[in-house]
Amino acid sequence: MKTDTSERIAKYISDHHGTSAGPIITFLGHHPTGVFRHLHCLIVKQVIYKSGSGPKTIYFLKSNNMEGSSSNIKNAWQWAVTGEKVFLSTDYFCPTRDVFQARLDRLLKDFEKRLTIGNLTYLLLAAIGEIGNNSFDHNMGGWRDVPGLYFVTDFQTKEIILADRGRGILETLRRARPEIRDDQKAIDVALTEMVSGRFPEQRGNGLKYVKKIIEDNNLNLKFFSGQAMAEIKQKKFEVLSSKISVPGTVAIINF
Amino acid sequence: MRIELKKFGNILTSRPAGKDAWSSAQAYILSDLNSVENIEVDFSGLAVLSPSWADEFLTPLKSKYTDRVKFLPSDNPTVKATLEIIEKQRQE
Repeated sequence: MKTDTSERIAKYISDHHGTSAGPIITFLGHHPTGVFRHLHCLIVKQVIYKSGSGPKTIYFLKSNNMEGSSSNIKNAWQWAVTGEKVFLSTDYFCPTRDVFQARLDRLLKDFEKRLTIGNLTYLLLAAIGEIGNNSFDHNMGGWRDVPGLYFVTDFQTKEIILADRGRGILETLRRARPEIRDDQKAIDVALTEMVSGRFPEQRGNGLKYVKKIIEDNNLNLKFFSGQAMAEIKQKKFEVLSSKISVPGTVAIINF
Repeated sequence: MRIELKKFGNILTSRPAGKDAWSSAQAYILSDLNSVENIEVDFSGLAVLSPSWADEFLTPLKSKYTDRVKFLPSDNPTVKATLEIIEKQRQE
């Protein structure tokens, strides 16, 4: 009986891509104390994790969005969502731009050793460089907690993740475009229009460049910020809502 | 005069690095330019160029010296894509 309830809770969280406790209690019709006990057990068993505190706590299934990813990629994602330092790894975290640049230099050598994809190596590096440098360009003095960028490349799963806990796209673009009111619009504008949060500086072409590289080379990109996600898959670009809230930004490239 | 970008690094992606390179080029390279001389920008030997770096170096170079600046042909796909996007930005 206990297991069945736990499974139903996990399935409910999965189906809803994350939820607070209230809807689960309503869905099950059980006493809140019992539901919280099950939630606690699921956290201990590492089936789910929680983000936020008090009434704003949201529970997520650990495998959401990260099915098939390595533990390093999952850790980067979970750090970006929760800010929990337990997920931080000094092997992959770049606290400053110089560290990021050094890791980019090393990645070029790793790519040249492991891949025979020719020009795509350099285009991928350029896209990674733009996304990673954006984190530092737009969040100086504005990081939520830990300053820096989580940067992992996994050659087994052919996956790259760049995650920060900065201002996020909406907050960044609001300075230049105050009429932008939601995460989906912000992420769409960031990837399709020449605009920068560092107004009045004339810049704002980096993510358009990234989008072009991804589309032209048939790569996949998921770009999260706030409660929105832009996805480029098989050259198709769309912006969707995301029930998992990413306070800063997370980019996941599949190559 | 020929400016070889590989002398600024192999992977040119960040704005601060581009800005720094522009300051350095003005002080130590372009100061030797005479009033009629053209500038050739050489991309050979470069692994990666991105719009952020280019925007801080090539955009002011082009603005200051206009038609005297020539970009030498390059097969590097990141150079091609970057020049395309900064040219588009310039036109807008």
